[in-house]
Amino acid sequence: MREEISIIKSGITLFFITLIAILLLVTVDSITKPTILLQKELEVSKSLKTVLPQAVKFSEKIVGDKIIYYKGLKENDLLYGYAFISSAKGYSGNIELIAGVDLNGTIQGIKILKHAETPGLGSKINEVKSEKTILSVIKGEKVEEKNIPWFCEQFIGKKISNLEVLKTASENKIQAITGATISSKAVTKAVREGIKKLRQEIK
Amino acid sequence: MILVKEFTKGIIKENPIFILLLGLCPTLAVTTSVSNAIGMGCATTFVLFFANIIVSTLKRIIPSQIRIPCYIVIIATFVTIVELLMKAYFSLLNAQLGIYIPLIVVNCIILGRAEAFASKKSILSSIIDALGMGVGFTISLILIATFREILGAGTIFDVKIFNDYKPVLVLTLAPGAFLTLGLLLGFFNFIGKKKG
Repeated sequence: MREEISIIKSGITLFFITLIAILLLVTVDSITKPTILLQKELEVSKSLKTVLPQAVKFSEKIVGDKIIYYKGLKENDLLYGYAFISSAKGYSGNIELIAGVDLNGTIQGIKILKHAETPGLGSKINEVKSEKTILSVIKGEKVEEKNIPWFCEQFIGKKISNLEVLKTASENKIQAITGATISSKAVTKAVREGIKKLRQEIK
Repeated sequence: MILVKEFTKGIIKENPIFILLLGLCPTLAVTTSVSNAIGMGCATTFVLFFANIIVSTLKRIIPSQIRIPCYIVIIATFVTIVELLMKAYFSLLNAQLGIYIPLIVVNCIILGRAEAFASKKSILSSIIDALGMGVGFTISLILIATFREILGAGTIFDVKIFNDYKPVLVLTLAPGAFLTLGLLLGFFNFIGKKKG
């Protein structure tokens, strides 16, 4: 009998601890949710210029049936291209990105918005390779730094038919990150599917 | 004096990676570069610090039979709250450390210290223990990462060392992590045996 009572007691204690945890999480989540969404919108609008560098103006967000996209305009208000948000399942969780294409369907740039890939392996999809060397640091030379991760840079100028991931370097295919093939493929898939959906949307 | 010992044991005598062999999973993943190692080390120390405080404060309330699920709930809740707050109000910090946070939840150092230390000792010594363990963890990560980054990528802090050095690619991959870790473990054990 005594054993049963102690089991019930433990059960009730655990119940209350989880209850407090849930209440805390719900409160924090409801407080932070609007701010997190706002931060995300800010991030997206900052990225528009990166993925469609030749557009001067951007439309408001257009929420389609299948995809969320923006129109990029030239100086004379002519349509230059589209930027769209797409995602695909990576190694851990969804990889979300924004990509820009011109009217011919050539990719102008992509930027990773959110990912939870393994640091040091999959996270390289969003890492910029430094051009500095020890010598240039000691000499204090200024080295021009890129601000686009090398993996994302590969997409620039490619068309949807070239979006294939290979393990070796090749001119018109995407080279996978060593040790992170799944992440590399996920990014490529997100871009490819995104373009397909965009085509259906703007038909 | 005891507090000083509580701190230094995490760095040498009970080093979480080389002696206790805790938290090896994230260790293998993040030690490809020194900057990753520092990021992971700082994030872990931060969570460990607060997890130890919370567990030590609640040690009388939590019944011993169900302590493990309780610790898991407490740690996971705390980490999730930190993640949400960081995303909302510290987006710069989130961009730097955000990818390490999910790895910390599964880091057994946190649970290990809650179980082995914070649940038995006072709050003050739990804090010191957390700091010592955190520093020990960070130093060990940096040690492994330095080795792997220099030989495996030919860089340090993402800065190229030689212009025409062909990196030993295997060191940046998982097998390289095991090799480096194994060699360093052997080295630390060798030194420990000689001393003791």
